[in-house]
Amino acid sequence: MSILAVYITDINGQQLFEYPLSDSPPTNKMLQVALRDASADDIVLRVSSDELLFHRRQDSLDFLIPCSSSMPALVPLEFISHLIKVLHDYFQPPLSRPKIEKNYSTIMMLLNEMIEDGYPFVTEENALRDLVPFTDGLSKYLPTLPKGAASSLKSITSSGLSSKSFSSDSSSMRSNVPWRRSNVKHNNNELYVDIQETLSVIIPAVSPMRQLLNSVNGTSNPVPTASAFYTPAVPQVLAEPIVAIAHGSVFATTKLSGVPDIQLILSFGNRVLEGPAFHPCVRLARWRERPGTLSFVPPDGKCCLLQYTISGVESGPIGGDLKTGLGPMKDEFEVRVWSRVPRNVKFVENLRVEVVFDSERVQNVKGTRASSGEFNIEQKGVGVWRFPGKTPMGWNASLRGTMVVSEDLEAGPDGTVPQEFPKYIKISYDCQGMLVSGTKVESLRVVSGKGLDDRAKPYKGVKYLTHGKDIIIRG
Amino acid sequence: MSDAKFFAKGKAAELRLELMSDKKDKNYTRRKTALKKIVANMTMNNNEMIQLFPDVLDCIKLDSLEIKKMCFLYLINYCRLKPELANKALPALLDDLRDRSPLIRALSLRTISCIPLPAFNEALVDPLGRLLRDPDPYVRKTAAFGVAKLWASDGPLVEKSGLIQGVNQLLVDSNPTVVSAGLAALNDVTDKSEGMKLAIGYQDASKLVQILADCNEWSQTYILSSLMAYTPQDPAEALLMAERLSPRLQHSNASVVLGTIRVILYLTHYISDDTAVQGLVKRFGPPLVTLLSKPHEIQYVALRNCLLILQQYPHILQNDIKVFFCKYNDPIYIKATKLEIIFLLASEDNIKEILRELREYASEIDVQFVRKAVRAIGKLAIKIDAATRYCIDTLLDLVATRVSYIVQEATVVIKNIFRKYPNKYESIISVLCKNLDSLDEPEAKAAMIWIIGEYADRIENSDQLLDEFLFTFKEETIEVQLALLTATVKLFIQRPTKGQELVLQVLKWSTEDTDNPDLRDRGYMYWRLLSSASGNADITRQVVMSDKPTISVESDTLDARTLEELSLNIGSLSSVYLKPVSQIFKGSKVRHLEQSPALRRTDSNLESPVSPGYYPNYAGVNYFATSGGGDLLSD
Repeated sequence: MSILAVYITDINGQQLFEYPLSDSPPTNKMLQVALRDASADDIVLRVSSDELLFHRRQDSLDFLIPCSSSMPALVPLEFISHLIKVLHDYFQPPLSRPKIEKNYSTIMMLLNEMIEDGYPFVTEENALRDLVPFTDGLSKYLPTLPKGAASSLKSITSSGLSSKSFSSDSSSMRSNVPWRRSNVKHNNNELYVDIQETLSVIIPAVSPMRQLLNSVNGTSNPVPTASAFYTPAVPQVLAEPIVAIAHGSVFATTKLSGVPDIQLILSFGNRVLEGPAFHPCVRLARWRERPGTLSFVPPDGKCCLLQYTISGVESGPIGGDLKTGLGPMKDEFEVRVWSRVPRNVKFVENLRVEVVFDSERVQNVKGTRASSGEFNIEQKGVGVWRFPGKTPMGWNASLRGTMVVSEDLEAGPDGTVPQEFPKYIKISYDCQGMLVSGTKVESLRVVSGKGLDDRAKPYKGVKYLTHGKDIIIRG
Repeated sequence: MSDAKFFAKGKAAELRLELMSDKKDKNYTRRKTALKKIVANMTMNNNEMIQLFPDVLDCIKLDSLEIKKMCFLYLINYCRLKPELANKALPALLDDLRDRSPLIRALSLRTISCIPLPAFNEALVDPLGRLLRDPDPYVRKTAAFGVAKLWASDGPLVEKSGLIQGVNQLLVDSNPTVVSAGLAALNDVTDKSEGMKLAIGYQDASKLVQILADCNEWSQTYILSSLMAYTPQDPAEALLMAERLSPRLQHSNASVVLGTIRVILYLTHYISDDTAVQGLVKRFGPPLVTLLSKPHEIQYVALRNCLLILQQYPHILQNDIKVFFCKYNDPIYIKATKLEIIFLLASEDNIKEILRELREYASEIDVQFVRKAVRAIGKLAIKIDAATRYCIDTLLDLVATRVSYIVQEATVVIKNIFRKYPNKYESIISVLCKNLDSLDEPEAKAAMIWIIGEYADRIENSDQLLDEFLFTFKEETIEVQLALLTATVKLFIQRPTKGQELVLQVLKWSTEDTDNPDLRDRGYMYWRLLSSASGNADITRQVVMSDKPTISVESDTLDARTLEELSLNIGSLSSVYLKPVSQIFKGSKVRHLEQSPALRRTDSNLESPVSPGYYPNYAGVNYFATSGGGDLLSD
């Protein structure tokens, strides 16, 4: 049950970094051969009769971790996640070839602490920052620290050989809060809460019958291009989503001196939280007594306190639909998107609509007319309709066009090649200030803070962000 | 300061100068930089750096932790290559084992134990015994791992040293991290050892569960693995343990979650109260769903394990079926596994919803996935009697698209539906017959030929249809040839006048013009049967058109014994492949349930392994026989 080596390569398989953990681990060359021969669904590759390879691509780098065969699959996979998190913490995302090359010795030292006897050991950023000097990035951290703390941090991490700093180092193991860096000091005590929900929705195709009814009622006249902006509501006969799931993450960013004990109370309305997963610092007993209560001594800096899933949520602030067979030749499609009438948010950002089609059958999209935004075919089988910047609420837009069917397609039984239409529409966006599940922070307070000034009012606020990731409308 | 510019070749001499002591180099800035360059070059396998061994060694004594760490990295890398030089480093390292800073003690200990040279091994034995009792926990945990590493390098040395007993002592340490390190070391040693085996009693197991919450996530995964070495002697004991473990299901680390599921599933074998077991297993559902928000690789492992758990406890995610609905942008490996889970979760109650969903998948762009979806619809018709009509309607709807690969896939599954429900749905044959032209894959052809042969008396022009297929007999694959042979014989039996000419032709081809022994044998067999029983057509009919064994999808599910073994390996590669460990890695240790008064008597641990479903090869093709593993819906 051991990790045999850690490799970082570029996406062409060229080795950038190597950290061997056994006498003769499989070489990057061997791993590249295994990767080349692998099929798409080989998440775990067998390199030899008793060696496995786990791998993940991130920021245009490949992380390769060969392991012995008895290794539980999720240990290296989770380890890669942690490693990436730590490297992001040290060197800022996104990682890149120069960043890796610039920091060999730091990465070596990190791995030397993160893996012990071929098994992940310390992966918390806080603990690692105590153990591994932060030469390059240190300057970035200094502004948040008072002068005294900066020099003491430096003495711990870089040159301090005094027994005092070491005993405090390893005492972190003895304390009840292994995830918290020792002797944390901040001049400005601050505490932020961020709650993010990633929304996934699948909306089924509207049956042709309903489309027909809709147009008979006169509600689906094409939106006139010029006056498309700010037409208030879009009356629709809309299909109900089949799936609408919000995956939530509650982050705390704490810059508090000493050992603060915090209580955060969340309300989830009447929603049922499925499978909440907690950071080790959260006291589970308190949550069980009163669901919604997060009681914890946080690690210094940012951490994810809670992850949860809520299904059956609303489909979010942006709606859309797809109609096909329009126009005089019945060969046009129309995609519409609209933002719903304002709740307590003013706009969404980074709105983007992907129009997915079968690239085997469609060679081009012609005659596209967008009432706003810009539409381009950006990759094989995907046209992207972008709305840069902010998109206000109570707004809508439409896109019409015709798919040009490939010439070399065989005609169907009736002697014609059937017209192609988009298969899916995928909408994505960011919406600040609201959570699609209606989750809210009820209260947040520092219950006790050893080493923290009593008068400090650290709670600076909460941010909500709904990230519409996969709003999929089937065609 | 960038390491990137450190890669000039021929630098060793230059770097040596930079490493030289210099009073002006106050905070050792220059030497630090030089060492960084050396480490960077080392990482890129620039073996020129080895020339600097003595110079680097000189730096170890400098009063800087960062420098020490880099020197140690250097030593770990090069000592193995240069044992004679390495021995010179040993005294300095041993010296550091007595440093008053625990961090330095631990660092040097780790460094020595990473260098598996005989001199290093021997020099480490005595200090290790002492460091296992070090006042600082960080040193104690490093010492525990040190023993494991020493064991790997020189087992006999460790065995006669009494160090294992020292590690055993750590299991009652006051610090949870040290306890888990001790356990990890013992685990490591026993894993690699022939003679030693880890066994944990109730008291110890109970204590481990107690400290679990105070350990970091990786220690938790260790402890969870070790708990598999505990054999409950009493059902109540096992239940209590499982109850105490279940809060771990809410950990944010996916390997902790799956590790917990594995231990709880293991414990259920020793719990007699069925309601309690069901209650425990029910708790797996939500955490598994939450894992679906993780990166694809983790999702995949979670889904494969879902598949495994659902075979034993299909109800736990019954109400969550929608979370397994596929997004068009899921990678194919995720989609395929989700599809298998949807299949397992399908029941009379949700079948209409599922069919709508599968119908949707059948119009996706990805052909491979479309095929799997069509196949799943066919299998649902066989799995759920009450839903067969809906499934057939959906399939006919798909056949009407006239997309070649959809029609072929549908033909294959409809043939199986006919076999499962004889004389019920044959009215749809005519629809299939309209699409013969689109069949170009052997499996689909063979299926259609089987249908024509089996229902030769009901299909008006069955002889013509077969004749058309026979036109290319010699170019067909063996599975199609066998199907044609059998179908023609069936035609002859049911409609002797129409089939006479064809059957003679096919028998002649099969016996005289082929190199394939299977085809020839079957040809001769039919020939003999037809000629010797010529006076008694009934006998021939009984043989050729006999009742077929019922088919079911049960043959696809894993047998109880395999399932049991796999469930003991939740989270491992074998749970991903759904194959027993022994089939994946030759000679690996097979886990099994230890006997104890509390062990539940189940079919699997009493009886011999269930033999995999066996179906005689009627049409020459056996679509449903899958070996005891692999994809449930593989094609």
